[in-house]
Amino acid sequence: MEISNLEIPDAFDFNRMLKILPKAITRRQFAYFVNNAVRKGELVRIVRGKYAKKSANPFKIALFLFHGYIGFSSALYLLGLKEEIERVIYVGTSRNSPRVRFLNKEIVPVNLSALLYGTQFINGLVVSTYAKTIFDMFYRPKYASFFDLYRALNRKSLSREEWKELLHYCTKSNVSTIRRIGYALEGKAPKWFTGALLRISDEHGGVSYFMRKGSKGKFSKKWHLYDDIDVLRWKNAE
Amino acid sequence: MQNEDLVPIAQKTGIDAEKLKMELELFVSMPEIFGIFERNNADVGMYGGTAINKVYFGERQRLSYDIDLFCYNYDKATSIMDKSAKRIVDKGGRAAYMYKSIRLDLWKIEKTPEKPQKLEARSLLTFFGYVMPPVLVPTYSLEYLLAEKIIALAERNLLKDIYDAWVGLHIVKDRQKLRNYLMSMQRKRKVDVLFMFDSVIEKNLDWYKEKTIDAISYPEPKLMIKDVHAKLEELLG
Repeated sequence: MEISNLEIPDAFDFNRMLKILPKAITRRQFAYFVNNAVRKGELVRIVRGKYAKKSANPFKIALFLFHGYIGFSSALYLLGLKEEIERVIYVGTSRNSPRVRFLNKEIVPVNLSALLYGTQFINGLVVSTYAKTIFDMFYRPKYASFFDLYRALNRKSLSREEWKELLHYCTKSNVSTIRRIGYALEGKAPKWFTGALLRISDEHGGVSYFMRKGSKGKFSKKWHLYDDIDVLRWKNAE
Repeated sequence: MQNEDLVPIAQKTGIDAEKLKMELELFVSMPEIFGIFERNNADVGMYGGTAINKVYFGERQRLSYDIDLFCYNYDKATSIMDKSAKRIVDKGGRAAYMYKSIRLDLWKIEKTPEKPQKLEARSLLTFFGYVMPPVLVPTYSLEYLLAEKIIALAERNLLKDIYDAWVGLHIVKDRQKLRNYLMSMQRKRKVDVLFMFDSVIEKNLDWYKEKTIDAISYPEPKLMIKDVHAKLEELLG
């Protein structure tokens, strides 16, 4: 088999690929082939030992690299609740990893540790469910776009089943996240949902902060929460 | 087909050409095996990993090439198979054969909640450019196969079962039917499918890397385990 005739998948790991190739192709030959393709601009080296075709779907590349799910604003885009294609692709993962650049995209892994679940399939991609996407934004607000979130909620509210799903994640989470969700979604969520959140969060003392611990802002007595980013300003985003 | 012809597909899928050859042999053997049973009027139904992957999972299927069959007339089915394949295991109510290079497991069963229907099984190879017609196999609904799979998962904690349960729970439509099957199987087999997650060990990781296609779109086992647990909790809770 000619090395120049090799069919290359959209993304691959050099060592794994080498094992799959016919034995007649040596490591040196394959490295030469890959380097040549990178020089010609057909392949892109993403991280050490991992390559992708220039034409590859960046969402697929994100999953290839981190083996988690597409989440946050990127999930809203795939769910059809946002039109703008952003430069950043968020991937939920179970460990801390550095950000990666792929062409003009930045792939940002977000460590969700024990809460890395709640997925569905969209066009062959593993994507967080609507309820899980909303939860993740409050669980890791640093990576969230609350404008996108409120706009999505104004376009499509959650079904009863989805609210129940969101409540399930809340019961597995910490009190700060529950307070953030309760505070930000009051008026949008059904009463039984906010009531349930109040019951869970009331058992704990102390105050919580929306984004940065110690930074003050509007204080919600009901939720014991300092809103330091004025999240409610996006409430009517369309 | 030579192994070399499978190399381009191996490159696209990330699965070794030797393993893909087994997949090809499965699709050559399946019409022969089911033809033998049909000609002799032996009632069988295919279940297990191969059935659920080849019939329902489409592009998301994993490699699986052993055939599990429920036999409604076990003595008749085994006597037919004895003439065509080598029997390698013979325990009460269960016999295993090697038909060419394909392992065939026959299980004695009186009745199942639903009758097998002929459905199309598609090879993984067809999704990567290899032209191969689908094979009609007698099998069950996704809900029944998935319930069987989840019970198997509870009994043996294998990662391949987690994988099948994970994909199945994402695509299943009739959740009530699945729930009913699961509840009745739990009672009959005396297992609690929600309890198993305390003891799931992330073993067989090599299997995962070698036998799932297209490493691009599959998540890490931890995510699948939690996803399956949450979906089952929601379904049965």
